Amino acid sequence: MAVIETHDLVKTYGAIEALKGVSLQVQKGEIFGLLGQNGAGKTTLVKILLGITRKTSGEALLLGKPAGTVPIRRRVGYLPEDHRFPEYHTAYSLLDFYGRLLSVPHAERRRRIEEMLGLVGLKGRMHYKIRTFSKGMKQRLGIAQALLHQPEVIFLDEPTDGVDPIGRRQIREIMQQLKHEGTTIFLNSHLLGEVELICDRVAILQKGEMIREGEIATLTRQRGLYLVGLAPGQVLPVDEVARLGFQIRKAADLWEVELADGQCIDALVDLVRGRGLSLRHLAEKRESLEDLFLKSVEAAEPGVDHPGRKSRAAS
Amino acid sequence: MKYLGILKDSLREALDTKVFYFMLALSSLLILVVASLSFRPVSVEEEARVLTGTVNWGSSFMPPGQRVTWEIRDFTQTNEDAPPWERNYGFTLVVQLSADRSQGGANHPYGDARFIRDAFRQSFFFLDNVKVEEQKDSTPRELRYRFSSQGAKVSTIREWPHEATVLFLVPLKIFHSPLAGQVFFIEDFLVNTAGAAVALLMSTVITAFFIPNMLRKGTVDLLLAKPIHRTSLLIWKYIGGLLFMFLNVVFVVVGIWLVLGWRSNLWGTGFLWTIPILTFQFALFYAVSTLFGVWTRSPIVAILMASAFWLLLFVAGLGYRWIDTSRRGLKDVQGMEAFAEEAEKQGKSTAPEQTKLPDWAYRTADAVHFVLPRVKDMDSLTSRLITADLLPPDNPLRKQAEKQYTSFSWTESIAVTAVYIVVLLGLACWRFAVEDY
Repeated sequence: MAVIETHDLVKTYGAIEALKGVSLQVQKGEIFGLLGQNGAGKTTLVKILLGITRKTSGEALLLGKPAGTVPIRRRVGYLPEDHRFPEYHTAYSLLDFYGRLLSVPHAERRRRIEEMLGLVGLKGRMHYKIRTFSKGMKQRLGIAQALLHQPEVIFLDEPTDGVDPIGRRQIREIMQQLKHEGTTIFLNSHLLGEVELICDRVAILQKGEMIREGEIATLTRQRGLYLVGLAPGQVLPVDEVARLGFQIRKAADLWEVELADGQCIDALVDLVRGRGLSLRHLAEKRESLEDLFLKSVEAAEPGVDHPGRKSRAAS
Repeated sequence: MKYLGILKDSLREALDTKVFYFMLALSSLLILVVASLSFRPVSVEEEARVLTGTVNWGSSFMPPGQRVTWEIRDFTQTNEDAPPWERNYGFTLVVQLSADRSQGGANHPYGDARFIRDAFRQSFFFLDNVKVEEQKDSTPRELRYRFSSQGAKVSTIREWPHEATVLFLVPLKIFHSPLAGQVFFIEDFLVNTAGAAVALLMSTVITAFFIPNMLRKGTVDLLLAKPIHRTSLLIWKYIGGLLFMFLNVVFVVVGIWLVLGWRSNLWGTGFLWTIPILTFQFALFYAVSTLFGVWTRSPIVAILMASAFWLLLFVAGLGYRWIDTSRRGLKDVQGMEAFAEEAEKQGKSTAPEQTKLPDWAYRTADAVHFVLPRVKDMDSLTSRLITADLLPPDNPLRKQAEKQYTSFSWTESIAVTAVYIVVLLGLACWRFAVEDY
């Protein structure tokens, strides 16, 4: 069953089209990553799903029901980007307040607050005012409040923003644990490396349009490109490799070997062993999510100068 | 449960502001000052000596040829075991002039017979059958007046003049007035007027931040993602602001009422009506603040608009009272009686037709008064409640207050104001419900 579902979702602000007919599906227990540049419409999409912003047309369903209704919001957790907690609260009193809004019973609330603050490493500071917290601590608190009522779906907008590397790993572990428990996670993030590490599927949104969608493993698979390395001082016989039908080029201390369609790397391995060379490195080169993202965005926007690309071209 | 959470959140927000503690300190200080008061009934002899002392002090600033000295002699009183209002009093006032009466001494302001009679009648307004007669043994340099009274116009200790002592040891020797009048001054002026203005203003400032803070980007998203209707969220946030004001008013009013009752032994409950009335008045201003808070998300705009609305109603209320007064003539207006009397002595009429404005002025004033919230009327009605509570029905002050406020009605004042609150909140809720955040 699709937990999150949109069909031809459109949102306009006057003449500006923030979403141009976005359709997507997220299945139960998935970690789904939504990628896109600033202003691509990621946050708008999430806000429509939560009822914070109203759609112009199309359909948005959450847990099989129209998105944004009060009963559905009870089953959803949300951490917005650039969230601002009221600083007059302590971590405990804030979660208590949100727990009340979520109708979590008193005893369970107390138990869950301590449990959640323990989970994000803030139990020792739970009675401190939020204004004394660092950005990373506030982010951890944001994760805690999103998980407080054990929601079935969680929307996380840049959850690791401002969090140190150890904290990031903890958050990734929490997400994996939640996935293991069957919770669906919808993740908006600019940190493509992290998305790649944790998400099952991703979609790329560009100027309100969905330009790519699929499983990460499928989207980033590189067919027939390997990196080969030999023991120090040894040289790969490139002419013989080329005669086997491989395309070969030097890549720093390694060789990049590209296979033709239907070809297998085994012939190269046999050649190396037959020449008495010692194989030290052999890995299939995969396209990173960042490569895929940049390629997709460029393809969707041909001819547009991006500072990053300009500088690369200049160098 | 969720609604209690919002109320608790609003209180927590208010408690976090420094202005709140300043307000609390101010309220506590006022309660402490009132608690330090004590009241003592003054005797007629004391009252007479206060009057002579005041005149002698005033006379010391006159040119030497015009100076006079007042002195009380041969003070007598009957029924010494009876309450002071059941006694008859008599004494002689000796006025020593610095120049012979035949040489212009009678022109001394404090030596003038009419002035002396008026001064004594006014000072001893609570006594009955007051007579001030010049005696035959007066000389050109020394005038003698015999003062006598039989019975009193008052019949309870609360109407009898008292001397207040503040901060436990500073007696206010020249401010003798009936106990009920002093309590009325504290309850009506210090708390219901000046205190209320400060409380309304400070509460408006403190609570004006509630709604814009809630609507800040990053904060509102967290709230709107929770399972609560937007209208409920806003209304309960609004109630949270009202609760803050209510608790403040309860603290001040009940505090003052308790300490004042303890110090004066006057336990009238009319003053306690200040609590709901003031909270209701604040509900109106806070509704304005809420509407502009939702519309602009700016606490400054919310404060300015609520304050401007307050000023508008204050001016409209004063204006209406002035126009309404002109319709009724000067004699019926509190504080204008002496002026009317003086005008009549000079042959000028103070009847309504003499002070009347053109008809269109009354029609316009009535129309504006009808459509605007009646905050000022509610102030007056509360004053009447306090007066009625402290003074007996035949007391002149109470009669005057009742006469003045006959044109105001609780039902109308509350109904029109309530309609405003509902409309303003309705607009705020509509805006909040349709807005994308």
